[in-house]
Amino acid sequence: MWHKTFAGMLSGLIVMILVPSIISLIFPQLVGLILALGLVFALSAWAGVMTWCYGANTNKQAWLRAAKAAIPTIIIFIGVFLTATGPTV
Amino acid sequence: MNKETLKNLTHAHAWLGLIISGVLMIVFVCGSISFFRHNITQWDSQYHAPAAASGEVVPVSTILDNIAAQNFAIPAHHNLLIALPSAEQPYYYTAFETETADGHHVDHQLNFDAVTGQQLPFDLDTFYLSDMLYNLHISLLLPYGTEIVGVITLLFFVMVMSGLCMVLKKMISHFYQYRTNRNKDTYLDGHTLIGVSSLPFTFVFALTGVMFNLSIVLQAGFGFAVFKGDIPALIQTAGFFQFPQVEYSGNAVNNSQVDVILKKTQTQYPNQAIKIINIYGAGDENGEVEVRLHEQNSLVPTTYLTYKLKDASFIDEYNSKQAPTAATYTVLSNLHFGEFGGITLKFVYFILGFSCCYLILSGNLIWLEKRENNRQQSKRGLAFVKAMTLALSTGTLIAVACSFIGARLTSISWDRTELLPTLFFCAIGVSLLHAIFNSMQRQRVRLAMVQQLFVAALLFTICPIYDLINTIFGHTTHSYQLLDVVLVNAMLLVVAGFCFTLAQYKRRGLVKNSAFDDTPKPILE
Repeated sequence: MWHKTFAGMLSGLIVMILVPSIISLIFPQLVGLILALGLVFALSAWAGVMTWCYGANTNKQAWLRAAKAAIPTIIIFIGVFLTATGPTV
Repeated sequence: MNKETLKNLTHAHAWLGLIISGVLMIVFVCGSISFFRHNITQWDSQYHAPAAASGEVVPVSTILDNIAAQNFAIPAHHNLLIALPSAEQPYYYTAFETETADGHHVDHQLNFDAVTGQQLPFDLDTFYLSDMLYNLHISLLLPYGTEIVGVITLLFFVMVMSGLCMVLKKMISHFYQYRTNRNKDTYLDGHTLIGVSSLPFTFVFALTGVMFNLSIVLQAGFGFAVFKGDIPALIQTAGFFQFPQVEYSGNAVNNSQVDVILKKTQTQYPNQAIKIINIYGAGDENGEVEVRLHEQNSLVPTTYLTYKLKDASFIDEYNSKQAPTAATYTVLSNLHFGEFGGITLKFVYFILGFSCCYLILSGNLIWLEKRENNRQQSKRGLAFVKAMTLALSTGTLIAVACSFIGARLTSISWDRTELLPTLFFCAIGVSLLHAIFNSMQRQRVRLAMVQQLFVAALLFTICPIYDLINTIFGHTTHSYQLLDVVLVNAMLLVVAGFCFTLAQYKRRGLVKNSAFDDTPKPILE
């Protein structure tokens, strides 16, 4: 249970923060709207990723699921962060 | 969804529920009662509150002059809040902070007669009961309590999602299934029925609970990832109301401009009520006045208007509808608090809140039922879970009842910020000890539950009876508090009736083979 909890919580946190960040960096003119949708969908995604990890058969599978959600998100974010200008206020 | 995944989710659902049930029960019981927060404050203060004065209401400038005469050192960037007299609160309520020489802030709360403008010897902050229940709901009155409740709410969100996955296939076909022949089925069917029926409500509560307590993580992460750490830029983009930033100029102005501002605002917005005004830099040329307009039955009810104090000129109008993030936050907040409707909606929210308490309790009972049939299960562990379940279900009710009695029967001179939390936690402690003592002796937990339910029912009736006796012996509740007093006493009697009925039901042994059903028959029957 501890493994599943930490795997889900950590990768859910990464997904929750980075997915709206990626979209905001690509579409900086929509950052307000993305942040608004993020309040509903990003927070739900955090719980969703945790639920997915709790559904795993083993601890190892839970960490694999967490990695499947988090690693592509991190790679895409780094790519977008280094190339996109992002919003200017 | 394959069987293995469902099995894993069921396992996680059961264990997470058991682990967080204690905190969640306090959060939901106190949260449900906090829907009547304002009513409880009025109920609490009914023997001490001032009578409604009749006559023409003095202007706000008179109140400002009275406060200015006392030479409080209010920092310019801090607000001086004034709630205008209304039908529900017929006197001026003011609140502000002063700054001491060493930089510390001291809270002040003063009330003024609406007709004479004289300060009243009455402090609403003395009546701490509603604030205590609300603080228990949001932070359990513990250090880092907000974060703890945030994590618990996140796990509750996971439980809502996993529960939804578990019943998804049979949600419609088994919706009306309620088997009464076996207790395990009764608890399970009740758990599913109420869980599915209240799903939109529990979803909103889980989401908004995480939003209130943990969205700081999203804010900080988003701020660094998108705004390169420029958090003020993020807040500006989010579009929340920016409080006026004022510095004292040293040139005094007459406070009568506030009266002009209020008259002008009421003329321009006849359909909205002015409830609160905030003054920054009161009595100074640089001062600003923020007027809050309230629209009833709206999900985005508040409009902020800002004016200059020196000449009553208009500066800005703000409504959170102007920004998607602020609007979403405001709508979700109002869905959480049920502020967009009347008393009926509050009662619906109250009942739905208590139905979540039933979900928590029945979830624990299903877990216990399953484990009791498992011979490998540690008996000591099982006894502890039984005791904890008992203390945090009926024990929380007893603790709430004790808090109401403490608020009603103790002298107003006693410090209730110390007394009420002590009473609350002592009551839970005594209930836990009583439950542990009985759970160690096996067979007696159900009897302990019946006893605690009877005690809770008795305690919940004390305050309404006390008020009734006082009314018979000549006490007249102020007309503006009558509805609140009736409402809160009705709520206490409803909870007392619920506890009594459940105790009777359990005592008669109508439900057999329950987790607490192992009491020897001669004791109960």
